[in-house]
Amino acid sequence: MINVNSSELQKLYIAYFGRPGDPSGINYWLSRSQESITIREISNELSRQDEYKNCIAQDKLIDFKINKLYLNLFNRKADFDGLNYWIEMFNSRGYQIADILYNLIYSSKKPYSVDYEQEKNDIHILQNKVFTAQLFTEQISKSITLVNIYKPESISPWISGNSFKKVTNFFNHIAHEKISTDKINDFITSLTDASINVLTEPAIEIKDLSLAIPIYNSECRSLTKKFANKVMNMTGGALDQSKNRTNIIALNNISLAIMKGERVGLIGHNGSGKSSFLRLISGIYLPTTGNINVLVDVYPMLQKTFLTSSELSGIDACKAHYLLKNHCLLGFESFLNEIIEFSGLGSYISLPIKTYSEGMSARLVFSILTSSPHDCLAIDEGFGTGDADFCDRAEERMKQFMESAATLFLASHSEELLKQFCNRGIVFSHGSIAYDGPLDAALNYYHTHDYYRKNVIG
Amino acid sequence: MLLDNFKFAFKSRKAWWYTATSRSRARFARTTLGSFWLGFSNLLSIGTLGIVYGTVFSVEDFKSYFIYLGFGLVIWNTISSSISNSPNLFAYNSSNIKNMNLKPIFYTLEEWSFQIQTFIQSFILVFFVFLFLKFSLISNLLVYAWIPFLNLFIFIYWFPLIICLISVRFTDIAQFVPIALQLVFLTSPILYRKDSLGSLEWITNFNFIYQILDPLRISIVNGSINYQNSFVLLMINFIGLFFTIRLLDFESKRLPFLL
Repeated sequence: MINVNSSELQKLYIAYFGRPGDPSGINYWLSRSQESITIREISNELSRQDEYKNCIAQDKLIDFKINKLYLNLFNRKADFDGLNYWIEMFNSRGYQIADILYNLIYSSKKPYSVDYEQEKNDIHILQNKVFTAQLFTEQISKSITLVNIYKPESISPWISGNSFKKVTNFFNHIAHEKISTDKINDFITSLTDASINVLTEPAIEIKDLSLAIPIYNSECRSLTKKFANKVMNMTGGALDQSKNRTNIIALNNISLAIMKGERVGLIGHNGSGKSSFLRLISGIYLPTTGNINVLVDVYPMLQKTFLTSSELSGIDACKAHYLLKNHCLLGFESFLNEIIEFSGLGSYISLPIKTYSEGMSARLVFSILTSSPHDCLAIDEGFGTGDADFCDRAEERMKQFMESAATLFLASHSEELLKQFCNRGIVFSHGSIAYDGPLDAALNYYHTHDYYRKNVIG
Repeated sequence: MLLDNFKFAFKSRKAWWYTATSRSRARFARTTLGSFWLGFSNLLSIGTLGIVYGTVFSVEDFKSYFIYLGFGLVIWNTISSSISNSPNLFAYNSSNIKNMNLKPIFYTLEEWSFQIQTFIQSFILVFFVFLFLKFSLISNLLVYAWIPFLNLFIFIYWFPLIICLISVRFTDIAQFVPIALQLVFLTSPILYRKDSLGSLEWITNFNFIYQILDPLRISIVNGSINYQNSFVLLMINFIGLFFTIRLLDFESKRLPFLL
C-alpha cells in the first residue's frame, strides 16, 4: 500500500489540476490519513472536486481527460498503445479517471507496450515536478500573505483565478531542468507583485492620439517623375502637385488608460482601427499626433511570420527567435525539443522552411511564439493555429498562453473568444472609440441597431 | 532614440549575427565546397580578368598585376554587393516590419554582417593564395591595414543604408543603382592602374567608393598608409554613420506605410 505523504499528494494535485497542492489542501489530506484514508480514495475524492469536474474535465471526452493527465504529469500526450489501453479499460471494465491515474502512477509494470526510454524520461519529469511542487508549497506556507495569494478566486462556483493559472502555467514548463529554490522564490515574488500591482499600475496611457496612414501615389514615389515635373514646371507647364498623397485616419483622438492585469477585447467592423491600435501599442506604428506611454513590453502576435528567410531551416528560425529573446543559447536544446514535440514536425525541423506546407509553417510559428509567457500580449484573431489536427492542442496552449499574460489585448469578431479571455471591451468605429467599458456592455453596444446602421449598413 | 538603437543593436548582436551566418550557410548548402566556393569563384575571375586585361594593357609584371587586381576586385565585390542589395532590403523584410516590433536597425545589421562574412570568406582564400606570390602581404596586413579595414566596414554599413532609405521613398532608385555601380566600376582604377587615366586622373578624387577601396588595397599590397587621409575618411565615415542612423530613426516612423 502507498503511504499517504506530501509527495504522493503532490503527484495527485499535479495530475488532476496541473499545479502543486495549496498548504491547506495538503494539510487536510495529511490529517485525513490518520483516519486510514488511502491514496486511491484521495484520488477518487480529488477527481470529484469542482476544480477538476467543473473546470478541467467538464464535457470533455475520455481521451482528452487521459491526455490531460499525461500532459500534467509527463509534459506529453498519451502514446498510442497507452491511450488505447486506458480507453478500453474505461469502456469495458468501468475504469474511472481516478483508477486510470492510480494505475498510471503506481503500477510497476504497464500492461501495454512501453518505450523504456520514454518511461525513464517520464519518471524524471514527474520527480522534478514533485520536487518543485514540494518546494513551492513549503515556501508558500511560510507566510500567511502568500497563503492568501495562492488560492482560488472563488470556491463556489469554482473560479481558479490568476494565481492558480499562473502557477499551472509555470508547472507546465517544468521538464528536465531542476528548479532551484531561488527560481521558486522569484516566481512567488512575481505572483505577489502581480497581485498587488494588478489594476493599480498603468500599463499603457494614451492621450489625444491620432494615427494617419499615408497612401502615396505612384508619381510621388518616383524620383524621375518628380524630377521631370520640376523640369516641365521650369519650362512653363502648370502642374498641380498639391495632392501627392492621401491620408487614411486610422485612429482619431484616442484617450484611454489600460491598467496592468486588464484583459481588453477590441471590437469593431473590418477597418474600424483594431489592428492599427494593436500595431500602435506594439510600437510598430508611431502616432501622428498625441502621446502614448507604453510601460510594459507588448508582444505582438499579428501574423505568422518568421524572423529568418524561408531558405533557412526550422532550427535556424527557432535559434534566431531564442537568441533574440534570451541573447544566448543557454537552454536552447530543451526549448528546441519542446518546439519539435509540440509542433509535431519531427525531423522536418532541419529542412528549409520553404519546403514546408502552409500547415507545417503555421504549426512552427505558433509553437515558437507561444513557447514562453509574456507580460502583455497584443493578439489579432487572424493569428490562426494551423491545420485541424493541430487545432485541439493549439487551442489548449493558446488558452494557457493568454491566461499567463498579465495584460491582454485581443482583437476579434468572436464573442465566445472575447468572453473567454476579456473583461473590458473597447468598440472602435471609424478609428474612434465608440464605447469603452465592461465587455458585456461593449458587446451589447456593438450589437445595437445604431452601430450597425452607422458602420455596416452605411 | 539614437542611444536606444545602439543599445538594441548591442543586445541583439548574437541574433543578427546568427541570422546572417545562417544565410551564408544556406547560400552554399548545395555546394560541397561550402563557403570556400566564394574564394574559388573570386580566384577564377581574378585569373581570367588578370590574363585578359593584363594582355590588353600590355602589363609587364603579371605577378604584381594579379595581386593589385585581386584585392581590388574582392573589395569592390563587397562594396558593390552591399550597395546593390540595399534598395530591396526593407521590401524583403516587409512582412516582419509590419507585424513585429523589432527595430528596423536589426535588418540593416543582419545585412551588414552578411556582407562582412561574405567578404571575410572570399578575402581569406584570395589572401592565402597571394601569399605564395608575395609573402610580405602578411606583415603589410598586420601593420598597415587596420584603419582602412575599419573604414571599409563602417562604409559598407552606412552608405548602402542611405541608398536603402532613399529607395524605400523613391521606388525607381532600385533600377538606377546597378547602372550607377557599373559606371563607378568602369571609371575606378580597379582593372587598370590609376596612372592609366592620364589627364582624367582627377576623377578618382570625386569617387568616394574608390577613396575607400584604394587605401585598403595600397596598405595590403604596398605596405604603406596615408594616416592623414585615413583619419579624415574615418571621420567622414563616423559622421555618415551618425547621420544615417538618425535618418533611419526618423524614417522608421513611416517605414511600415511605405512597404
